Amino acid sequence: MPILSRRRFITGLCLAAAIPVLEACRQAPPAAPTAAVSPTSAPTTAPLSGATTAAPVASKGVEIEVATRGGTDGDIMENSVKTFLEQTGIKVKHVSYGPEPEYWAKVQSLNATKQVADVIWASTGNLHNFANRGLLAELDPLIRADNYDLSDYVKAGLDSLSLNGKLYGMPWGGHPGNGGLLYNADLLQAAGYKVTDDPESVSDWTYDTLKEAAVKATKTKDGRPDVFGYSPGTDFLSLNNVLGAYGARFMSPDGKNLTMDTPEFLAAMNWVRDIFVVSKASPAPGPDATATGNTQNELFASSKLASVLTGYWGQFTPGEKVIQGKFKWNVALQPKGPAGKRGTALTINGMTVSAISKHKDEAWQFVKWLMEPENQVPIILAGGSRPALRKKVLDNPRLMSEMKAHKVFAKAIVEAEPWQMPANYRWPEFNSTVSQIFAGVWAGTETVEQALPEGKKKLQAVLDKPAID
Amino acid sequence: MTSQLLTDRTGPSLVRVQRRSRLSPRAREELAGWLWTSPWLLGFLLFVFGPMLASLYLSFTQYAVGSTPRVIGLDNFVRALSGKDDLFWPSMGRTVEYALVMVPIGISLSLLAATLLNQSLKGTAIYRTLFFLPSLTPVVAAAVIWRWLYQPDFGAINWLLWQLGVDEGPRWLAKPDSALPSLMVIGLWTSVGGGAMLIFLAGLQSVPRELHDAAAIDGANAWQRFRNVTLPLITPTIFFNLVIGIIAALKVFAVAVLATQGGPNYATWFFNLHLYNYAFQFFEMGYASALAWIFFLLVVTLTYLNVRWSRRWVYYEGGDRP
Repeated sequence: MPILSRRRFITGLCLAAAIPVLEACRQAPPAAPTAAVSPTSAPTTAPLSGATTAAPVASKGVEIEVATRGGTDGDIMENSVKTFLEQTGIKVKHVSYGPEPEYWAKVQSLNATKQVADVIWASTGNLHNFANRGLLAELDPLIRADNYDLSDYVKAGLDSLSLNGKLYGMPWGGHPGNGGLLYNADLLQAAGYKVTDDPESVSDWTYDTLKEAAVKATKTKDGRPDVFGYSPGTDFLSLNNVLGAYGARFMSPDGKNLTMDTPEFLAAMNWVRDIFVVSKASPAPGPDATATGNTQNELFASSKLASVLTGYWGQFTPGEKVIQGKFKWNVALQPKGPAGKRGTALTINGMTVSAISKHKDEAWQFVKWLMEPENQVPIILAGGSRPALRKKVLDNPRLMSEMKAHKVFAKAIVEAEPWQMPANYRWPEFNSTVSQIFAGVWAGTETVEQALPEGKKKLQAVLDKPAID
Repeated sequence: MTSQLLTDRTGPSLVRVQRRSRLSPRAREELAGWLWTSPWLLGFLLFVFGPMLASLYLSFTQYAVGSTPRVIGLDNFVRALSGKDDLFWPSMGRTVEYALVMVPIGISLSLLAATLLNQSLKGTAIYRTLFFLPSLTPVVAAAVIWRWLYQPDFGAINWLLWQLGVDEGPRWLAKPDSALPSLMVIGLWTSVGGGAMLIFLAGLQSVPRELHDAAAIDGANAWQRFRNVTLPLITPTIFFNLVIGIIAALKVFAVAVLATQGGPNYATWFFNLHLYNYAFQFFEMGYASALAWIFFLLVVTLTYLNVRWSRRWVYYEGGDRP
């Protein structure tokens, strides 16, 4: 019989493997309370909403981390952390957790192993869920300790990032959802409309005007589609704007019940369906049929699409770099609907502080710095972000004059309603379900009325689930 | 080998004396073997077996990453199997439907391609490369290309159909009833000329030439030689491709995420997509773990049945059977 049996060896190996696993799972000692959350601590010396934050002496030599989903956000952050170091002496390391939805899983995993970044990018879709589960630090104590003035901020923006009256994120990049209309002025002119590349030229359009223009701009060539008039989106964020303009919403303000039985809801959904099925003024719907879809952008840039639903980013994507002066274009807002409003709701990329950060003060200094107009404006001008939801950024003269359509969106942002969230914070699931259940409607295989019973059953089932904890 | 050098008092020469080892030669050899394999074993235990055990535990809990798992017994399994999760059985059925179509067609076409490429024709190497290329295409690129090909209004396929007189081509990925077959075509395009074809090619080349010659002398035509000589001899290869093909088809995921995101109207909402969404989009990791274990048991059962069934039709020249 061998001295070292297979069983013994594997048992030994298991034990060896278990040691680092157990070590990793060991509960980390509680973080020492930071100066900001300590009731006895003195406020930091940061200026009120100051332009350049002077870091407290204690912060020198501290290194914190900021997490983004990479891509453009990551590029912005790489530059921002360098400038922040120069100005404050606080070193911030940018880490990319990758694109959504994996981004969210990574935040949770790293939080579980006490390795999550100190500052976490978090958009409205998941911020409330994370705040509810204690992953994010309440910002109010930090703000109070710092005497930071919030009066410059858009109230709906702060409300959108609050949970139970507590603020969990600063509205770093806000926009009125998918509420823009990217249009090709040349194609709309050819369809008989007095449209120029000034967004004001379409500011008095209604949903009827938009549909009529979409139909007129739709052209065929040799019996094949050549140009389409308008491409709506079919995801939650896109539909939500149309619904709002008609005075409807998917769910009640408390996020517990559906409100899809109203005539306004049916009228709004049928408006979208007509564009696809009756007027045939839109390219075929598909998973890419969102306001950020590549297919739509490519068709628009190649003059195959006269107008398309978009958002603030429509100023950059596909953008003049791709269009290269081939036609006149700009971004306006979606029309006002029968309810007399545009129906937009805020969508925000927030900057939050991790609840387990050991350097909450420094993290807050960085978040505060990111929100300053002089740090924000160059980023937006470079095409990399949405504006912070504060007047000093929204009304910034450079953004007003140098951006193609900032002035249009600045007004819409102030008018937009707060973000609406299921009471159980299951927005990703709700959004996914919306995208699926109406697909047959856009494809023309069923009517809105036919899709509603099963759709409502599925959506209410999502709302009825318990909150994730 | 442990040794010790001792100085002989009687002279300058060194005498090598071997120290007695506590381990027998066999044990030492065994220890060396284990040590050489331990990096892999350690990796397996830490990164495969350990997480598997963890997911087994989590499947009996209500758990979102970062929270404390709460043991709920068999609730997750009951939720799935009882139909309380109304997408469980449809996604399972769709995945099985996909596998039922993909596996036989995929294997048949791979075998056909391998047989054609096994002919001693001029330029065979070039043809083999061309057939193999689609399988080298990254799935992201393949999905983007096919999405454009399928685009109903401007896509190349409907343009070709229009040239052939079809006024309005199918809506392909945009319509629930055509989305699944359209995805199957993408799956076949990427897989037929890939690993299965290469394995068939190797199998075909191992068929002894003299058996074909003997059959030909006996008057067997090409089809009869293929049917009665080639096929029986490559049954181990067919069996291997069948097992791998079934597992691969049941695992369908990436192409659905990239090309359709499970739509339209759940038409391509496969089981693994369902699992992925629960784990990473909806944050119900406990339930997703239960789904993963149900899937694992399904695959293990099917593979076991396959192995049992193979005893009836797989021919091993050496007589060895799995």
